[in-house]
Amino acid sequence: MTSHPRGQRTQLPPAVFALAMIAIAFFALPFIGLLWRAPWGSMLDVLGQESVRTALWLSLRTSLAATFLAFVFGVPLAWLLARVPFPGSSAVRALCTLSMVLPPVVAGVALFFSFGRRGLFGQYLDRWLGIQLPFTTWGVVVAQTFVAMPFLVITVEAALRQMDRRTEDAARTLGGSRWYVFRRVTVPTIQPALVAGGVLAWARALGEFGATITFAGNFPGTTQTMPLATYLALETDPQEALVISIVLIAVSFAVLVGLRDRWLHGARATLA
Amino acid sequence: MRWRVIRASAAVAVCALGGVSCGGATSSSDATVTVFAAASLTDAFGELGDAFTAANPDAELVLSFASSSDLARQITEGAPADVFVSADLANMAKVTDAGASVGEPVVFATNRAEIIVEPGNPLDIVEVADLADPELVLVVCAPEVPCGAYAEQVVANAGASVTPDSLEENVKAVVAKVTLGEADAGIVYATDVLAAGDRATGIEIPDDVNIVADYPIVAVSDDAEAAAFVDFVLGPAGRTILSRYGFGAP
Amino acid sequence: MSLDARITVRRGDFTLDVEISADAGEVLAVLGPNGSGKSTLLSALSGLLAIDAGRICVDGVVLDDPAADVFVPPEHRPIGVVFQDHVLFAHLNARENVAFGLRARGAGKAQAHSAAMTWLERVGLERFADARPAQLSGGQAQRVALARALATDPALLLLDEPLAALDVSTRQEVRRSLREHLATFPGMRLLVTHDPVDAYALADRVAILEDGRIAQIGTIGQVTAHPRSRYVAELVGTNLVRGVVADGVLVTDTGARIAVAADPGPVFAVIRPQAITLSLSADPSSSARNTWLGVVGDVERLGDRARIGVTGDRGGIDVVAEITTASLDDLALRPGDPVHASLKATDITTYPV
Repeated sequence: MTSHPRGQRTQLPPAVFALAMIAIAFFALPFIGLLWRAPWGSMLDVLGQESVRTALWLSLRTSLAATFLAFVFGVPLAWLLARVPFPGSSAVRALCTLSMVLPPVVAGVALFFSFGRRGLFGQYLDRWLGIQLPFTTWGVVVAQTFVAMPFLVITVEAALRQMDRRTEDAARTLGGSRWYVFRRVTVPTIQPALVAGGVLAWARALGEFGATITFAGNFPGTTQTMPLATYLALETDPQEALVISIVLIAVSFAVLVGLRDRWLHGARATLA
Repeated sequence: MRWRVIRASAAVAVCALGGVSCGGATSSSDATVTVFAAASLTDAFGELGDAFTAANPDAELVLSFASSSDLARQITEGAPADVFVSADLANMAKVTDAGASVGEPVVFATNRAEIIVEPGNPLDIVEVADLADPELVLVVCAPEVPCGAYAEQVVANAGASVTPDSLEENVKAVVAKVTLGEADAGIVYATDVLAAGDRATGIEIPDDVNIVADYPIVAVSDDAEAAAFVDFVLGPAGRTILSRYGFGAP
Repeated sequence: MSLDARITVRRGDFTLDVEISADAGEVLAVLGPNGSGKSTLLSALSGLLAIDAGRICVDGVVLDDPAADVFVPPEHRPIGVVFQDHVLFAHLNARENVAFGLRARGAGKAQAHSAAMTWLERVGLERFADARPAQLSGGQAQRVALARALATDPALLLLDEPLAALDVSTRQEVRRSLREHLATFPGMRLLVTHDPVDAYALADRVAILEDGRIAQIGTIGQVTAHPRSRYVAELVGTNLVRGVVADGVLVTDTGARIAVAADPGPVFAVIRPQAITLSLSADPSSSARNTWLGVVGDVERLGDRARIGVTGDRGGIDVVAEITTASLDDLALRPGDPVHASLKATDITTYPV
């Protein structure tokens, strides 16, 4: 009969431990199943296939572009929401983060009817500027940015609210212009949030499916990103689907593990 | 003590996960007939389903439409369907080869491919070769789904070379893109053009270039209701409805 | 070098309305309770807040003048600020912190860093040049903050309650250090604080800020000898009453009547706590001209003395009396007890308003 441990803080009650174990199994088993069925022998051959490499390269380009746009537009938006009180700001915040909770297909439908060729705004883009977003790689980037930017906005806004604004005041009294202070004080202070938000946005963009297939369409090399390729490959060549899935998982896993330390590191420094 | 809890919960978890059946024929609950049918049958089977339930009041009908390849995959992985209706023989073979079918598949209808364009044919498309114009926004089904395979064949038969702008996952998505004005033209089934009514215009493809799509139906469960539905489709009532929607005789 | 400022700032219900001037060579302390407007004053002078009316002028250069539509942003003002609890940049080490101002103003890295090292030496922290703020003690961090503010060679140095966040022993050490460096600083120095000890130790002149207005300005000696507000009186630990004298009677603002030996006119009257006698019963034969009935309030024992707050009943004034602890015990006074207070007319010092 085991005696009760003498009040050590790190001991979990058995019930809590069991539930946590189930949670870990819940996350681990699907990946284990995937790795079990993976065609390890022919992995390199499948990876060498043009369709796979094309999809991979397209996914990388578009998700990085989407993340870049998320930063360019998302950080100023986060700044506005965090620092400038204006009537209706909570409505604006809800609007800007709506696509985060929407089913991606709904986001795709919304984009379709507003920026499609006959869309409310798209028709003018087409008529006056000759710009068409559906069926183009830029359409993919737009769809990905639409669903990924809120992650960055929310993370950065929280960090801007939380930081000690007196450091910015101090920097200005020392002679820093607003831009200098932003670069040399604000950004280093919120750096963990920028990284975390950027990674989340990138991961979301990389995995985007519903909005992409509805708005941008599906064509290898132009709009067929990894998730789309996986879905279609499943119907004819499950091996290919498996391999692409594993590649996606490996990349995401590496990024999450690699960057986690940096988030914690940065956070500790700013707590000083 | 703790290890017992862990083992117990692990066992529960594995059982729960392994409990999803691994393929083979399944039966759904009594008196409910679950039909997995190709997307191109959406309109026809909608009406057919109503007629069936009118004739069999204590049967409940559940219709699920998607691309035939998608449905075939789901059935082979154990989805609880009673009847499978495919738009081509290749996907039906996937199901019979996996041993999921009950009895032999029967071809009950045929379909032809047709070019679909915006109402009034504003771009004056006349034949398949016109689709080769790179300025044209053309959508077709992905080659992995039946309608996409048929489209490829039609294009090859016509000796043309086209570059679609998108490969949609099912035929109804192609129809949607054209009727909403997003695409200029697409290759779909004749029945889809008919179903679109005045939201689209169809351009016939001559017989020597066109394909004939064979639609097979098979029961995938032992339920008496499943067999009853198959018989209904093959019977005179089913025949009439299908032809009204543009499907040809087998 | 001079500071010449008339500042009016309205924030919600609160209005700050002051006139301040200072010269190089003196340390001006602005002393006031919390909520009196000290931070607002500093924000206005540093440019973090724009004034609503008035004019701020440093060394003849106008920094803020709403009427003339002139506003110089903080980064272009010749000021340095030392904040409460240092507000050092956590992601930079001590040397980089001190160099920040120089680099922000365009100095090259090497030049700025060597100047920063000189300043760190002057505050005795050159050994900590590579340390991050998190690794410094409160006192060390505050000294780095001082070096950082001084490194840019400001004309006006503003200190915002620089010792408030430190514990008592560190405070003494930093106060000494501050005194040293303030003494050698060539520009103008304005210190804002709520702690009179800081004012005593560091300042030449003190301005009392109460409720957005300057109640009093003068040297420490002048202000404490002739307090013109309850706040200062409490600071100095004495009783202050304001009223009008006529025919040997001072009628206070609250309507109480006190016999005084003073010339007629509006006056402040200072009553030392030691001058008040407490007894359990009225003594009609006493020579004290002022006796009144009161209720004991707070009782504070300080070694062999005790300070007792007495609230005046029926026309008597509120005072703090100081008696020996022995007497306190003899009389067995406790909060809420009735007590008779008496005060000689000659023991009251008055001076004109």
